[in-house]
Amino acid sequence: MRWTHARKVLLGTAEREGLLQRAFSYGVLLGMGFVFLYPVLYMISTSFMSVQDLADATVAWIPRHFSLESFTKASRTLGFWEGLKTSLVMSFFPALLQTVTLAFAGYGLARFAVPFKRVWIGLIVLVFLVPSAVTLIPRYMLFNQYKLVNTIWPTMLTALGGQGVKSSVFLLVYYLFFSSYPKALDEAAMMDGAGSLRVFFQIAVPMAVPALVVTFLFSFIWFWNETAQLSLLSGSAARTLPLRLQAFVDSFNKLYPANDISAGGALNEAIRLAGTLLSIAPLLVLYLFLQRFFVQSVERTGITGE
Amino acid sequence: MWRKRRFRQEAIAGYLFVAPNLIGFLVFQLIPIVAAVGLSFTAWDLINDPQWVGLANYRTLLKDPVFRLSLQKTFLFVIINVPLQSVLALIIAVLLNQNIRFQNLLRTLFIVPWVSMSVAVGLTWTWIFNSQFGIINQILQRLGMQRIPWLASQDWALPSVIAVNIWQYLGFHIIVFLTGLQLIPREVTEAAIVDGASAWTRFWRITIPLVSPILFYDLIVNMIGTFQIFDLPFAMTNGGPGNATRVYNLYLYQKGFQFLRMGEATAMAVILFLLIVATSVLFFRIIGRRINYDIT
Amino acid sequence: MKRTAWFVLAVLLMSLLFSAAAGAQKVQLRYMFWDQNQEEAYRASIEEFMRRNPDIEVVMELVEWNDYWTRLTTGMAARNLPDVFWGHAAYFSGFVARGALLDLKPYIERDNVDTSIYYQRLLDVWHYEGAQYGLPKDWDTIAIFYNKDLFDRAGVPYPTDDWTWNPQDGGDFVRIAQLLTLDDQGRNALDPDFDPDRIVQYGFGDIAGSNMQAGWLNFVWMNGGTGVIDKPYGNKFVLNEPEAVEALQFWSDLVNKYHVAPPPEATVAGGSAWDLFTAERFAMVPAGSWMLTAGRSIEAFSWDVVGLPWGPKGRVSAFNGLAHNIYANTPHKEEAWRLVKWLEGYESQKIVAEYGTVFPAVESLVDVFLNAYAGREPENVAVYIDLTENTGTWPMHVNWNEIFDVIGRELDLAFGGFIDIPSAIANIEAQVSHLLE
Repeated sequence: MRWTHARKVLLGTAEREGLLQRAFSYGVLLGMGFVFLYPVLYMISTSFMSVQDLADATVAWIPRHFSLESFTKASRTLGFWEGLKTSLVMSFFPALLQTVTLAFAGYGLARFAVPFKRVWIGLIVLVFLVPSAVTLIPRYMLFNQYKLVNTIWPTMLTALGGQGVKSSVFLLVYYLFFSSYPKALDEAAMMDGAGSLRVFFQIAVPMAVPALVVTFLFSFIWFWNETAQLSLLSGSAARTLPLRLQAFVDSFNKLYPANDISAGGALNEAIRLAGTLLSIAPLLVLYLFLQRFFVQSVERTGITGE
Repeated sequence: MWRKRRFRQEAIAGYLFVAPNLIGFLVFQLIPIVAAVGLSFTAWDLINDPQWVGLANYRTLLKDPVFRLSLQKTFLFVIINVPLQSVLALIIAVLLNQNIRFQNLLRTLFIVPWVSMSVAVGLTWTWIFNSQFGIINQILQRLGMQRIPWLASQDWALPSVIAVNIWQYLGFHIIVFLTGLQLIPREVTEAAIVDGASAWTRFWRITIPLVSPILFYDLIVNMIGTFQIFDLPFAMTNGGPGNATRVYNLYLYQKGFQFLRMGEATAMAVILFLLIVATSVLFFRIIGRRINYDIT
Repeated sequence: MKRTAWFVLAVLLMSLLFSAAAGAQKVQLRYMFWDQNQEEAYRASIEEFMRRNPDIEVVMELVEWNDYWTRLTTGMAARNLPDVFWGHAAYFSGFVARGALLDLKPYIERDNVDTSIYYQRLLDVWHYEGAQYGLPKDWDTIAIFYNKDLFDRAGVPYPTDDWTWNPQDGGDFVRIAQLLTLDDQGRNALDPDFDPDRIVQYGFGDIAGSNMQAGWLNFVWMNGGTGVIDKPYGNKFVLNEPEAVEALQFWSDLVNKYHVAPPPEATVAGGSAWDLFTAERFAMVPAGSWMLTAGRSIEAFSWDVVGLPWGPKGRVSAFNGLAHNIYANTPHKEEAWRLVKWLEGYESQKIVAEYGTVFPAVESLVDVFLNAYAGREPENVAVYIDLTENTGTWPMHVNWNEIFDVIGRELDLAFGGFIDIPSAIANIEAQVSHLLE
């Protein structure tokens, strides 16, 4: 009797999870969490340290000379507010454009008898397999021909064309999403005399909110952190936070043999890490905010299968 | 007659919906790809006009020992990174999907590395891995153990960089799986509980089969992405020590922009593309057929 | 009727175009550079230039070093490049041989520019096959920064300018470095109980294969070695000379035998040597004069500069400098040349020298630069000028970047103690022979 009770507590019953199981879950999560947290904590604590603490081996975690100096310095060096504004513009609009274009395309492919549909889908998948290194130089030449290099337009136009970062993943998500709900809904609306556009906005879009949110959020993050193409194509026209950060985070003589550089040397580790924190903070805030929205939208739209 | 018109109308409407994306595809993908394939048959130093050389670039690459080495490093990276990362993410996602405390906090925590820039992540980790001043080796020494040359030795460098890569992108894969887990109908799980299935049984009998399409999808996306790995090895070791972490895309970048051999670099890009296609097809053949696509 | 309408339209368009052109009569020159520290000085100079040349407008573009060369090479590919940009010896040889730069010799001769005001060796850097592609903008030599506080704490007298090194027993240089290398019990590297696995402070730092200019190349020269390549644009690999091998072995010894410097990875991956110097983990670091500006931000300790230690064959420092290059395909050759002539001329270099960021290439302006340092650390800044007495120059080769990539990788392995110097040299030779042809 007592044994069965103990067994119930440890292993759980149909209604309740057992202690062992909970301990396992929490153990693994906490263990992983620690490994995860460690560098993040390191980043945070270091950025609050003064130079003396950094040099002092005995100061491992808690800064002895607590200082916000790194943040003010990093913010000044980064030109934080200016960079934040640029980053928001260069992430929000491309993410929005990409979300919209791809929603249209996904809907079009899923709901209409488009000739060569399979070919298009095949090509889209193929695009996903193309390393970005392949297209970089030709794209540069293309934009250069239309005098668009060193402006913000290369990013905006590729997003408008639905060819931003990892766009084919999102297109597939949309495609699967729009294919999965009954066509009867559309047809009923059509019978009532609604045009395709109205059907799209009034029936398809509200259903696709989770897909829209996911696409927007992921696109936002990817556009936010995109630096390679941006620095090449937009140059000084779009000095986003990550680009500003990279300018002094990169150790300069890594790729290039010469080290005639002085701008980077004067900045210490604490400032770099403070700068890093400053540049990811906006994304975390966004994620925290949208996460709740995301979970809700998944539940509300009932794609859980009910 | 009416049907045909209707069909045509529908095709037009469909194309209108797809048009912006299609134009984007043609302009920003297809044309550049065709141009790149063309350039791979030329000698081009970026400064002077490209000169047609036929297959010379491909022949040069096949003879280049560093090319072969970088290919080998990349395959190794993919083989170690992809299964570990995806499976680890799946486990964590399943655990996070339970009714546990601090769920949101934990989720956000796992996201932090993913939203951070690779360059910054790489630098933070190189400090942690630093053989002389890094915190890991300091702890090891305090525990009376030998220091490990994490990024210094040719044996340790690649595993170290892979570990950081797993760490950085784990959060992304966790989100993918969490989304997938939410698609499992609640009644199925509830019915199983009523039937008295243990958590372990439920994991193997319900979760895994129902999540398998997403696992498959995640593995393939992960694989394709890992073939193109660049940022972390670039920021952490620049391919060193020696050639230990000189992955394919890093060498490609160096060839194109640093050594001014853009013809060879585009040839490398074309080869990488073919390799990715081949591997993906193989992957589909071997695993894709056994997947249960029927989610609900 | 229709035809007249077209004609009117054409005239309208033409007049619009012309009025636009009239508004933009100023020639716009794009000027690209990478060092933020020098921005202020060059802005001042360029504003003066624009005041004197009202027909030219110069747009300054700051591109950080890590993007700079990528931007430059893609720009070349697209025929869209700044008209005037900073050049560096490491990239010059590759660019010039591929025809990317404008030969200034005809302009120099036409305008009778007096090139004798510059250090001659700097002028030679920009020389290729009888043409002259740049006039020197500035220069740098290599000395050693040291942390006075750490010397005081160890009770070691500051290094003097007559100190020496040799590949046999290391000389004063190694002895001083040993006294300043401490393990976690505070024992220095000369102590019999010293534990090389638990070093917390190094006497010297920045041993890396990629640290050629401020590092090993100087020691190769000081040991009587020729360098890396027999002559500028030569095709003979000479780093395998016994003198060079011996000097490189000495650099490896600093890490693996004397334990006075950390292996390359400690300073290349994560935390540059400069970071560790400012964090007081290194007592001494080799530093080019371009690091002086960065040194100004040191507040935690006092520091000074000393010349490189004298080697068996005297004291030799790398001597390098930048120049303003003109893009070969610029449509505004004449205006670009006027800008370059101004920037490298006496007046502009004087303006820039007053800011005290880099040594001016005009020999007679060096005192102006020194004045900027009066009453400031480092006290001994003039040592950089003494070091110009005996110098070596940057190895020039069309494929230099590729050659240097190989050298850096192999030397890193050797300095890290994973392979020995002779096999590193053999590996390098095997990989670069086809690049040198």
